[in-house]
Amino acid sequence: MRSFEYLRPTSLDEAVKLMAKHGRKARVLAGGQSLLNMMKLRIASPEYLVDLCELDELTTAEADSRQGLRIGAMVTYHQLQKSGLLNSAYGMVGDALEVIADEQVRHVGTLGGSCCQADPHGDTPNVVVALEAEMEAVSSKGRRLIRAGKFFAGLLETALASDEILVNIRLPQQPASTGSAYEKFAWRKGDYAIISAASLITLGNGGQCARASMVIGSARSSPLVLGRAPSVLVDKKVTPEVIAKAAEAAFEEVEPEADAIYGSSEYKKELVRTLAERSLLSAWKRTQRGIN
Amino acid sequence: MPRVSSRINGKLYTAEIDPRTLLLDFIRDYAGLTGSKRGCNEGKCGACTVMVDGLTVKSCNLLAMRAHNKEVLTIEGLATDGHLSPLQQCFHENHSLQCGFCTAGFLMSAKYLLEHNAKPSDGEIRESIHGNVCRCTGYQKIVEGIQAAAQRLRAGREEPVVAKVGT
Repeated sequence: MRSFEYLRPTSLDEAVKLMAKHGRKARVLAGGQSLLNMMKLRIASPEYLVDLCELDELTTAEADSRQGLRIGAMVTYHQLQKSGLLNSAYGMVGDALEVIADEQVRHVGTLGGSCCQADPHGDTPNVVVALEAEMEAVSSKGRRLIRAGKFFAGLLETALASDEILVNIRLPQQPASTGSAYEKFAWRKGDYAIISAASLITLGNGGQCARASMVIGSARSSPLVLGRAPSVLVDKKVTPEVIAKAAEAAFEEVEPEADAIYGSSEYKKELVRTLAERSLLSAWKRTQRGIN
Repeated sequence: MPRVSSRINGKLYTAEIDPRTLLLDFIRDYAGLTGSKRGCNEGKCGACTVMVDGLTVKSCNLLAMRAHNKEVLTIEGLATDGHLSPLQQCFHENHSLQCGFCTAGFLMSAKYLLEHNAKPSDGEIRESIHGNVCRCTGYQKIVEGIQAAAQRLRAGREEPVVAKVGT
């Protein structure tokens, strides 16, 4: 790790000023479970490290029946798991938290931090994109909301400017009878995903699908939002057979990048079909049960 | 250089440190407590697991500054008055260690589990030690040791417990 100056603001205002002053030379430290390893490898070598650990306003999460769920960027995976906020509509978030690394990492790692790491094999980018989250960022120029679909800009890249700090992740309120689920495949639980699928289904009256969405992770450098596969479901009565057809459409739609470590494009493509089907079945079950 | 002040196993340690100092290095080099081990140094193997304010963390992947004004518990804090804790004693009796390098980390993860789940299933035990690697692959005996400790802590008794996995 190269040397850096350690800065520990005690207010968001102070943090914003530090980022305005140091910009590209600075990195924000959240949980550090990715960034510290990047720094040990000298992939990241910030001259200033702005530690947000004293900003209590970033460590809270709350549900609002109109606004949905607001998750502070410094809320740890562990806090979120214990929060009781993840109902069936946000079920995919709970699924993702369970398969991120291990308990020690989940005690420290944060949702905001892993989104800003933007690892193509990470879990959290897929679920925030699938839930159409808005990423709230602050800089000396003010606040802005970035759609999650536009936030992930490629390998370890986000839409954040060098002086911006991610402060909240806002998950919109979902209609009743919505269920969502996340499935991933890795050689060992907690490893980075080889392929993952995040699916969401909203049922209308009579059990037909009013809305569906699906995001495939680890196929490309950013979460891949599918168009055809969800459209197979919409306006149809959901059955295991229809779900199998949607999974087949996902298989046809996704051309995963080959991966030197984890396997060929063909191998990953097969996983898309399997995980698409599993995640849709699980999301569908949650719409019926209304529980996580 | 920033100043860090941290209570480790009840004793206050204060030092001016290079901000790069990892909590593991602070524990080993400043506090002189060498029970916590450096395995991979990248947060994978769990040999450096300690508790900070009651939560297990990998001390090789946390800046020492993050333990400022916090309570740290390391493996050296488990025994009292020279007597092994029931959990340590059960590891000893059940042969839950071979080379011993990973043991401190496993004990901290197991301690966290038993503090939150008095009657874990074997599956829950395996889940709780997911972040710890035993390169001797002695997992079965580790699970038995933790299961024995759970039984002993529930019974509040001191005599040896022969663990049966699946109980």
